[in-house]
Amino acid sequence: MTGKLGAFVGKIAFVDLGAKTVEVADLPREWAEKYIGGQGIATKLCYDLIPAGCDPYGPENRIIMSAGTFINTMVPGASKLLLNTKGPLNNRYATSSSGIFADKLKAGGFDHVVISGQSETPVYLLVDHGQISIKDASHLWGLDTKLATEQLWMEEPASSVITIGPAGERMAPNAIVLGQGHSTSGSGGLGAIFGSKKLKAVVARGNTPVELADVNRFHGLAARTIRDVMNGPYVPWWRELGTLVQLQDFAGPGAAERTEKMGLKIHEWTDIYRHKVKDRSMTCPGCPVACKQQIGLTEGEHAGKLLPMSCSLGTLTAPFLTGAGIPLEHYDEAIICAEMCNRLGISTLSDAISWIHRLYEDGVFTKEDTDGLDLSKGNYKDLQEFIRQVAYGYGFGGELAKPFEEVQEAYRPQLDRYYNWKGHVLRKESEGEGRHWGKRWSVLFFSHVIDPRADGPGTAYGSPTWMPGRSGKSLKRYGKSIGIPEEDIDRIFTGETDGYDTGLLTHRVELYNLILYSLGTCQRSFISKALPTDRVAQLYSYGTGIEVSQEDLLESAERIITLQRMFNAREGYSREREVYPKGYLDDDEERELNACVDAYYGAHGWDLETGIPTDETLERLGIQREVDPRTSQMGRQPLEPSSVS
Amino acid sequence: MAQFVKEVDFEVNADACVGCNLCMMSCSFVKHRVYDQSIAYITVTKDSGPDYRPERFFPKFEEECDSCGFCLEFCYFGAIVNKKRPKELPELGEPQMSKTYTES
Repeated sequence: MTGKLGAFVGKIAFVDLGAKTVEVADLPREWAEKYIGGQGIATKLCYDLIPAGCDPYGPENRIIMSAGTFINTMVPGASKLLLNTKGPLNNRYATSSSGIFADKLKAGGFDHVVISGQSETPVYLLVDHGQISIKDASHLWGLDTKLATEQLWMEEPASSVITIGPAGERMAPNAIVLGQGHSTSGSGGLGAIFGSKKLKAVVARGNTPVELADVNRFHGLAARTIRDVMNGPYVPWWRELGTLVQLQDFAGPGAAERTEKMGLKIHEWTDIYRHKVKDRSMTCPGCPVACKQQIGLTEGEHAGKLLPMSCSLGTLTAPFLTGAGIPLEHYDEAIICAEMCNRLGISTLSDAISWIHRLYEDGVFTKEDTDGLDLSKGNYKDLQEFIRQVAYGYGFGGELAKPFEEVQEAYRPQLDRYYNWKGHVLRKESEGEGRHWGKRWSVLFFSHVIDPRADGPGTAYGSPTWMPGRSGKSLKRYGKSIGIPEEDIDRIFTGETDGYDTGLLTHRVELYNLILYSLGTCQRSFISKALPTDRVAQLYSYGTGIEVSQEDLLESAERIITLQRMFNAREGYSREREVYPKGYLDDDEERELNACVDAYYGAHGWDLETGIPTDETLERLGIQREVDPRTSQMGRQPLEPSSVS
Repeated sequence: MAQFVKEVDFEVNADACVGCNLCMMSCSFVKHRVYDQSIAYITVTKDSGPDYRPERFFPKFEEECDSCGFCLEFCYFGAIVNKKRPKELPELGEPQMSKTYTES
């Protein structure tokens, strides 16, 4: 295998839905060396191919579907599909991942598929054994995600399917893409971009093998990683409860207590969930843990209903039990709400559905505005109608499911009390400590401010700092595992409980997670604990044949996030627009936040005034501010025979 | 490849299979030194037919299978079982606060 790139399939497809053409190019080795794979190369493609200032809903915007470097290998949890685009909510770099479909995309013969243009009629894309065809989807347009997925499974056997629902078809800004009827690519409004291109679904199948540079060594280390994952103390609980684990007593000091404060009796709910709700565990390809669940209702009006779900916390518990306050005696109605969102293809966490209760309770909207809907907390019947309105775009829900800027314009002066912050809703009156969780500017909350990805609140890379109360020793151990050099450990960690420099640690957490995203592995704690950066570097070297050290990977990760940052800068985002609006924070909070931002920008080598990467940093990382013209001209060949209908 | 598990000692429990595909991948590695699920000697197919359930999977040994037992090592769901030497599956114990929180 000398000379040839291992682990990658080595092909990028370029699909133009307007011109109905499909072209293929070889993946340049240089990209693998500089951008790791998956998320990294997708970032490069986004930066070079999505023109600055373009309309996210226009034909020039692209969807980049990527399978990471380790997809279809035995590295546990290597199954992440990465979807990248320019986000419709706020014109920022948008990315979303889910655990399904990447295996079939890569087996279908491609590492990346770049989709541009707009079709006039509904279509779906079939990636099939190295071929790609654009097929008619008029019979699928209007179907919900479940029906569309089932129809496509029937038409294209042995395939994997991602699809949008009615919300995506009508370009609601936070429409999701759903994989295999359950796996959510929820952030970033990817579903709306699919809708704008009239792309209902992508279907993939094939059996392209993954050849590795040193398969024996690679397999040995991957097998050891699997054993390390399975020796994790909480694996059985992840399998039992899915992401609900994160709210349990044993997740961290005070986790259950904080959940109770948010109005959810977590012990009671856990009991119901285990004994009345959970039907069986489900898994992503290549994962021995299985933290996804199929829910089966055993009693009440909806008894017998089955609902597969990728995140018991994010799809069900957080939005509908804590957020919408549906009382536990009506837990089945919360499940129906979650099912509606999945089937209609709307995000549960970051659009009208997540902020409507606040606006209603603040008295901004009354029953008169809502055409009679009572949207106070706990009223699930009216909430379900509201969800339908959001998805199908009628009534009050339809008015609200737009970028917040437009909503604010339509409902002046009621909404003057709110900031539009990167497309999200903030109440101008300070909410003080309520917006924090433990340490005031923890990595989690600071990430919400600083993360280049589109979503703002709700977006933060995973790290153990999510749960406050970590001992100093445990934090240092984590620091070492994510490749922080010895000399920086004492600079970042104080050695006390929760003692860390937020700006500096956030920088490191992002770099580590970007490596995992680029490899296509899951970042949930049970997997990432078994993938310290030095092991990842070894796996990468054995797999691809490119000798790398952990420092090389971390430098590549810096390159990736710097490019994401420049993507946003090009759209007019600077430090001023990035941090909270003036007046939102009190003086102490603002001072502390500014110190974090300074440290974070400093660590990256970005200009402290503007947040834009400096020339020296670009030179160090070997990237240019200008778009690389080679990307749009790279040796593409038309894919023959390409059946276009 | 030396046989270390007798064929009669194998058992497939399709009910437990969740379709993680690790058995197919490990088989293709040990037999062909490549990760390619399509040439593995065990196949896992999704449920199909009129009353199919999307979350159901059916593992089946192909004729070429020589009972080397490699796939057993990577099944953490009890879908492939060695009857004589069943693997211990992870069990739910009483959850304890992680040591990492309590140590100084």
